[in-house]
Amino acid sequence: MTARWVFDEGTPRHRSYQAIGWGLFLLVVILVPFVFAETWAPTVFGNKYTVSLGNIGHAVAWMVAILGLNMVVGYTGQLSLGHSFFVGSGAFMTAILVEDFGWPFVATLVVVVPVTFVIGLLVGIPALRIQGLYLGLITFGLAAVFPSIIKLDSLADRTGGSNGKNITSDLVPPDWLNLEGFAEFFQGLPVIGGLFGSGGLSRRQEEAVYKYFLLVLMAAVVFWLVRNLVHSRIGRAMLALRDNPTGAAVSGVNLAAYKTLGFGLSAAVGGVAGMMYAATIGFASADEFGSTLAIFFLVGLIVGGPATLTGPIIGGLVIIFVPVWAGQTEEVPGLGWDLNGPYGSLILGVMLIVLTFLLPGGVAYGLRRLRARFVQVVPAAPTVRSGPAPGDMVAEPISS
Amino acid sequence: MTLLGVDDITVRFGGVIALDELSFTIDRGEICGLIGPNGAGKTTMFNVISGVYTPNAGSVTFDGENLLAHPPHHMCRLGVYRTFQNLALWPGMTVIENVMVGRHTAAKANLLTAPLRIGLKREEDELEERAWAALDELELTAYAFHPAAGLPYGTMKRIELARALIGEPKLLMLDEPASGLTHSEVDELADLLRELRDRHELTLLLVEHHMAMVMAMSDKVVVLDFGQKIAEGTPAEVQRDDRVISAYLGGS
Ligand SMILES: Nc1ncnc2c1ncn2[C@@H]1O[C@H](COP(=O)(O)OP(=O)(O)OP(=O)(O)O)[C@@H](O)[C@H]1O
Ligand SMILES: [Mg+2]
Repeated sequence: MTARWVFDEGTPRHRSYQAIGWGLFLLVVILVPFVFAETWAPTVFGNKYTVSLGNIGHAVAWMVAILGLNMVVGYTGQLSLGHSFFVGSGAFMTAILVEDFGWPFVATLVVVVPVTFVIGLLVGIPALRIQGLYLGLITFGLAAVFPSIIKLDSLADRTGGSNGKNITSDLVPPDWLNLEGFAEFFQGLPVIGGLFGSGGLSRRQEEAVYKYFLLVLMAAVVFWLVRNLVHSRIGRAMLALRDNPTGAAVSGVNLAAYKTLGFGLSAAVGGVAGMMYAATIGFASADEFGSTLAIFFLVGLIVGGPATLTGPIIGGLVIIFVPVWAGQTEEVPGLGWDLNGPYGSLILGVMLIVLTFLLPGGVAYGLRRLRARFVQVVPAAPTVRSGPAPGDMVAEPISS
Repeated sequence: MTLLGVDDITVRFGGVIALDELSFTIDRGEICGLIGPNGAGKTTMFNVISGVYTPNAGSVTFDGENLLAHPPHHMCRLGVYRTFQNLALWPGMTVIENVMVGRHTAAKANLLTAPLRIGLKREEDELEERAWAALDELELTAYAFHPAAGLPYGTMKRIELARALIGEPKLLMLDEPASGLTHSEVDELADLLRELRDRHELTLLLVEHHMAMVMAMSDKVVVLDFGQKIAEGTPAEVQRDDRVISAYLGGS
């Protein structure tokens, strides 16, 4: 089967294709907060479904969390059922530093990243001897004890114990940023203007839009850093050890070091996600970061697509919006069932089972295959790409 | 001058003695054939040299170093590379990426420079160019951007060879490189290996059941049977050896 559009890598045509793709993506990212600044609540088949900026921000934080989990599960192939431990650690460290010590949110990364990285490395060390299900059990234990640790009497002063910790400091848009003006501009557009609601933005909406952009920016930076890492010898070594440890070892990959590193990176990225969570939700509660969340992260990764970068993006959206919408589904048209109850996890579970059979590799691989029907990029040989070596150039006489 | 010295290596798996006080040496630049019937211990010997198995007794020296003191991932740095009898490739990666992993040790990107792209583009370009050159030498460039999965067996064997070559080995150990090849392909492979040896100044340790190839290529042949060395010498010498003849024709 040949694709409809074929691009030779690196040609201007290919570059334009890429630029258009990224441009569209960027456009969507920019428009989203203005569309959803006022919570959307369309009614579909008699059920009212909502999309709020709060949910979207939460999903962006969880995209980063799942990206972290991806480092250990997707890239090094080690089962981790304890990711909420690292994310929770990041969230509480941020909450404490911001609330009790008055640090700005982003500055807390100076503490969060190294500390979670080291915790991750420490967890990775037993993982050298334990594999598969047993590793799953041990990490699951971490997630299970996290809420109890946070609620310990000796920590409750700082963590808020079982009441959780409120973060009063907020992210307020600077004066020079005229979000209101943007909203009015979009609202004034012909035809699509109606999508953006009316009457500009309230103070609260303006803050929500601003927070959204900050979160997206942070997520973009983390995804960019991880993308670079996985496209280096380090990422290849991780995949190599996942798929054939012996081959990796005799190619010079230190298996123990890279397995441990997988946990460290996973935890550090998870810690950043925790900071983002604290920033967007403004509240950290011990019970939020228990074993259920750890499972949700794993489901998000598997449904989205392990060892890909789009997988975590899809996964973050799935683990937030599927439960929200499932909870809002009160009747199924024509059946008259009463669906009040905790159906979010049920539907996630069913999705997981169905997707594992229909789309092994997750939605990301499904999308990749779909794209391959339309677009094919023919890679350029390195020799072609770099052009003739300088020495091969024939000196041109300068014409007078 | 001796490059590899194997001295009294013994490997036991439960009751099975896979290698029994095996000793031999290989000189720099030599092609050494290691032959023997199925189960003789040839692959086990590779696994000992490359650090995958720890022997019960004996020592291995390479270029003056005690090889057994090093973990498997140090072998690349020392210059010891191998291919596998049953392939150890990464089916999810493209062929060129598979080959690039072979230069993991020489590449420099670290946890700080890689995420920030400091020198990363340059390194990746260089790795790709080297991998491309290795693929070119083995006439594999047509597959460079294919996933390594699902390629013909002989092709995958050559990908492993390219992965080893890119690391600039001193000692290259090949475990049945000719398996699955037709007669004319075997001859081509023999020519290719000799060329590679000359061009890259390699020392080769060759395990192969294809006798004509081993005898034609090797400067020296070591014959194993049930983990013991039953003969060692030039191809002509071992072919005349009574124990070798009986090991291959009768008994086992
Ligand atoms: N990991 C292992 N565990 C147990 N026994 C093993 C192991 N590896 C090898 N053996 C045994 O050691 C002996 C030598 O095996 P080895 O694979 O080295 O033979 P070989 O000479 O490479 O044979 P072939 O020509 O079939 O590849 C065999 O009896 C084999 O069953
Ligand atoms: Mg063998």
